[in-house]
Amino acid sequence: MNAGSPRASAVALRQLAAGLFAGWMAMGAALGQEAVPHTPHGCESDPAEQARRSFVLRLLGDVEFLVQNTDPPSSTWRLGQLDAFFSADLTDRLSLLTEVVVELDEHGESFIDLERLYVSYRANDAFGITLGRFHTGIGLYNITHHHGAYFETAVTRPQLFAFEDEGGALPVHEVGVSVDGEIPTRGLGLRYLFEMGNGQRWTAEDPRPAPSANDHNHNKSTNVGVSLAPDAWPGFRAGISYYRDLIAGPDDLSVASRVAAAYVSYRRSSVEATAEVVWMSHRFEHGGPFTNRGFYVHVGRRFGKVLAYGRYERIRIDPGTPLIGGLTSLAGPTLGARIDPAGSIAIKAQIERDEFAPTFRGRVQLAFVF
Amino acid sequence: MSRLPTRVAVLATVTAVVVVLVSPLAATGVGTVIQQGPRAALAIVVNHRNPVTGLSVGELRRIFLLDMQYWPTGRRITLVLREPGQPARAEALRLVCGMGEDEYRRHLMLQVFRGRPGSAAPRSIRTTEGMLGFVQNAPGAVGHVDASQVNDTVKALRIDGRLPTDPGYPLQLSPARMPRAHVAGTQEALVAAEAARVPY
Repeated sequence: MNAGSPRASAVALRQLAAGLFAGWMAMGAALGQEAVPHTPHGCESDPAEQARRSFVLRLLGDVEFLVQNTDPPSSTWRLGQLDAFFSADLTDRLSLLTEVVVELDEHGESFIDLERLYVSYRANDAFGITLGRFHTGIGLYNITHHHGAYFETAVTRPQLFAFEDEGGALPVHEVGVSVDGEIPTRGLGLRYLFEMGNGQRWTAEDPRPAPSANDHNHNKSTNVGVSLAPDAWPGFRAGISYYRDLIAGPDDLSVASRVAAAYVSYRRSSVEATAEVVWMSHRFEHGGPFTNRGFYVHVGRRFGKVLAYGRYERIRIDPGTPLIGGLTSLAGPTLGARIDPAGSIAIKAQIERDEFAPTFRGRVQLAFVF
Repeated sequence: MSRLPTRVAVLATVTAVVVVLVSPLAATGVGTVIQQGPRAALAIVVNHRNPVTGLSVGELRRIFLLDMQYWPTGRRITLVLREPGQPARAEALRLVCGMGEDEYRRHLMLQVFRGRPGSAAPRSIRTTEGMLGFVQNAPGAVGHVDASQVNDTVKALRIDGRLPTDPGYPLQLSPARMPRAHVAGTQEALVAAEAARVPY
């Protein structure tokens, strides 16, 4: 097996993930869950020392029942991801984070993916640097919601931000370096983001772009973004980002990729609203560009313990687009409701319609974190 | 794209804006200035060695939400709250973040998932004495107490330029949380606390 092939990289990544998962389980058993310092009398003898020793260990999972009006109609129980999350603060400024996901494919085979693994150093609010594998700072959803359905309002992610191995068109994972921080402004809440990484790669056997754990060229992907969250408008946030990459393939064939994203969001206790739009451009080095657009609008309103939500999304991929032309287009509304009967459990139900297919789907999901 | 999806997008965006506009923006009480009659206030206290003398409501909110984690001196902020279930904590979360306990707890978990250090999560303190003692001993600590209970071991911050005894102080407690004879006590405590300030 060629050690440099994507398959070998994937196997190596999974072996690394399995090793980390085992180590994480052992460390978790030794440390216990979220050993945040606490004393019964409320006055800690050495707060600085206690602050250095903070570990968080969480497991997230979900189970779903899906009904769809295909021909013939079908229904199925589905196991979602089991997400093992661990973070540790090595010092006041240095921390590490790992996120390992175990899931079953459609044939019932289980596999382990290392989704995030990074070390962060934060000098202050204005400067932090992260090294490792992280979620690319494209738009808002991808940096707000990671793996684990519990934290997502809806049952499913917007297709626009679907993971690469679930038919997503965007490079949502990146291996490289990320720098971010606050730009000192009086109450504007301006933040910047700069990322540089391996970007994606593709092969003749599998032309879909995949995150590159081991880059074979000198062209690194870059992503820049700025966001705004004024103190005067609590809960409001807006931002833009621009990503570029030269996606290396076989026989020196490369595809130039550009992704521009913009979003506005408002989130308070009783209401949430987000709109995101993304432009994607792909072209062979000596070919014309193919530009595809996608957007989603999400609104939610809490009525007592029930959070009702609706989403309209549309992503249409030109079949002629290099690399992503084979991905599924989707358009349609999603309506649903979520209730949190206990602190760590969410029950969600939603119906979706895909105008391109066209199909209806109904889902009920139990998501949990502990 | 055809025009139809564009119209749908515009319609959906307009809907989102309408939902935002009709939402109970003022229901949280954040930044609300209540000026009628004597009322108890939530004092935000820090260590005397902390050179910071005041915060805006927005900065305080970002500290509570873990979006701001360092003082201007570079020292790490240690947020200290009363224990979950205590009325003082619920009132502080309502006034500063506009959140209830469950929502705040979910927010903290989500922040850690987003990569915020776990140690940035707030410490929980059972008593007012414990809170004052913690803040007195931890240079980077910021906590909350009823303004009538501020003493000279800690420093009360100005919020939006106002001390808890000033008219228009933004963190006024609801009447149910108002202790008896708090006004005189608060004034005396704040004067004493100011006099006891030591250089950083």
